[in-house]
Amino acid sequence: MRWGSEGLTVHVVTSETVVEVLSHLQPADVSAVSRTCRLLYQVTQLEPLWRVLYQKRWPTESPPIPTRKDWKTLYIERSLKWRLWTPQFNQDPLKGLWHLHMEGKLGPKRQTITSCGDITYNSHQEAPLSRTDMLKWLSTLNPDVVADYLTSSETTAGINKREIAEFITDPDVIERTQIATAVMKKINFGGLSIEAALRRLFRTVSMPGTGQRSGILLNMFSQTYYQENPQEDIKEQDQVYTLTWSIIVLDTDLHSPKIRRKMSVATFVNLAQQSMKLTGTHVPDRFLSDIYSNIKKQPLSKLEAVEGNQWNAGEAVSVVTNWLSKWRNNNTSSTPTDKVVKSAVCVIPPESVWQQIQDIRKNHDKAYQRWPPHVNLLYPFLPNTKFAEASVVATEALKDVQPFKVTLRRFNHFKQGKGVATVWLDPQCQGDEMIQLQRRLQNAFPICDDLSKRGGFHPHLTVGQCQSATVDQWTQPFEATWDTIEFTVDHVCMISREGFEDPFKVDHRIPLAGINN
Amino acid sequence: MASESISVTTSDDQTIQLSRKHAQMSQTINSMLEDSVGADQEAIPLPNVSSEVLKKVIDWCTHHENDPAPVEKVKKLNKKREYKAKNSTISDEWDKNFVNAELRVIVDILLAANYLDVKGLFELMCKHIANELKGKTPDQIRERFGIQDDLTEEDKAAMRKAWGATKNDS
Repeated sequence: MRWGSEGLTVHVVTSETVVEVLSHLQPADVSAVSRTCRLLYQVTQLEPLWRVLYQKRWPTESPPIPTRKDWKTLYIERSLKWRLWTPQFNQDPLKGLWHLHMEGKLGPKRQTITSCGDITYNSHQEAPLSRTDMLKWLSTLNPDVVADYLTSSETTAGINKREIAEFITDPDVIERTQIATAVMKKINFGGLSIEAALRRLFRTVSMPGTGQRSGILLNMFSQTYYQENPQEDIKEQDQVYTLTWSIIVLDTDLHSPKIRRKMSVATFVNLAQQSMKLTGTHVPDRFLSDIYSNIKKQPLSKLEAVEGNQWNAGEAVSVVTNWLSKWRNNNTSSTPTDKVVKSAVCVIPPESVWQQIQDIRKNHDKAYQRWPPHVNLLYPFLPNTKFAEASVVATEALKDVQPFKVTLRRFNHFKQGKGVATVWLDPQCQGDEMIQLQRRLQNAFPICDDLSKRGGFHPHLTVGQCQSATVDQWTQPFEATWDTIEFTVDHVCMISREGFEDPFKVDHRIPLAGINN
Repeated sequence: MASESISVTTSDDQTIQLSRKHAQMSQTINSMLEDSVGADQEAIPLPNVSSEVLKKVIDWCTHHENDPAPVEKVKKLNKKREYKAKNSTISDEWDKNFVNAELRVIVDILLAANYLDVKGLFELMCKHIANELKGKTPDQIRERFGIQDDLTEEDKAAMRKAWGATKNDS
């Protein structure tokens, strides 16, 4: 090949040599070279070049096993795999995934998603409007494929890392899908030190915006790290969690410009050891001082300070303290993934007053077979395997709450989507005893906050569902014949069911004011 | 008995002495030496390398004589590690100065390094030329390397279209 004459000499360079040169380039530069002359164009089409470019760009992926496709085609296909939908994900993760799915990029596409009720989705159709439907759809996807999308090196360059973090720590996503777990597995922490594993974590995600979400993320991290590194020096998952937080606090402290006086190595070692003590474990000081010097040399995440704008060491410290005191008080290592819709804490009226309520529910409440008459306090709740510990915590939390009287006299309703209303009896008390009761329990089980979110806790005893438009006419006959019911709340029930269609059973009765009846 | 210096004859009929250590940094000369064990110490002919270029090669070998031996290229396609190691920045100050030469010289050294099979030098010249190509338009590349434009406008339009898909996301 002629490579430049410059009026001096004619150099003959083999195409292998040119490939060797070009393999140091980015594809954009290879493109420019190919458009200079015919000979160079031909060289840029050679197989070995594309194999090198492919493996340089996706070094951690095992290259496709020889197919009939040439490396250039493979390269183009691979680079197109996700890129089109990245901006969409950043705007709205659920919709972004929806479009990817409709393009057939997230595994086989289902024309009809039966679990989405009576709605049928066809390809290229707009995404469902309601979040509930979207979540139902999301749970039908293969979590590994979604995780592959979220973690693949070139999408994480395009996807906002904070969006990924918010998405995988979304309690709804965690409850309904295995995506978060799959993402953690995909990042692969095996064989790494905690510090190195955290650095790898922050290459894919950033710290979520709130302390609660950060707790969820680091909890998932600790769990995965512990599973993948079982025979390391680290003995307990809780030790991993504590260490992780210590490192985050340290990183924030050392690298946040907002914090003027930086922690010394002695302070860090002391603080971390104190925290360790609470979990009943210990690590060598040397181990901690090594972490200190590494973090000092290089922040956990190069691209953006982990602290972000909303994160500060104060919050980190308070999250750690909270978590540790929770640990001390009750030994349930409750994680968000532990919440299940198969259990609840509720007030159940005594059976002597059920008759009137059940007469309505029998014909009008679709949950009649599954639920007894009840006022939910915490739902979803911890699985019944944890009830033994949970009942100790709950009893402690309710020991100062005096029994109180409840009157069921007034009907009311919630309007829900799709023109349906839920009609319920208002459990009236003298003051706000029911609200206070729920608050005590909520504080004891901070993760089971579903009923207190979205406008606060509204105590209610559901009797049926009807059309929103005619709710007043529907309720009127019941109101007319209703005899006021009165009963005393002196305990709450921990209930659970085997499957979603099975009836709930009362497993534990938690007495108020520590009185056993 | 291996002598301390080796004679080679260049394309312009010069006989040049180089130390055995430097000569062995070239896989080509090294294998010639192995083939002629026991034979008289005749000058090794290097018909593809001029004395001017050979001196440059020896300069490089002198500077890099104590470098750790280059890892034998794994012939199998177990490439992962190799690609990670591939880094297109030239970090050695001496090397940066060394490649600061006319294009004609650079290409001659590249060819000589390829022919003599001096791995480190070949890699260095490839990196240098690649750096020269980076971020340039086709026109700028043609100008820099004295390439004749033999493409029609149609060819170019078609190529641009075909290339659109492979660009980096970033």
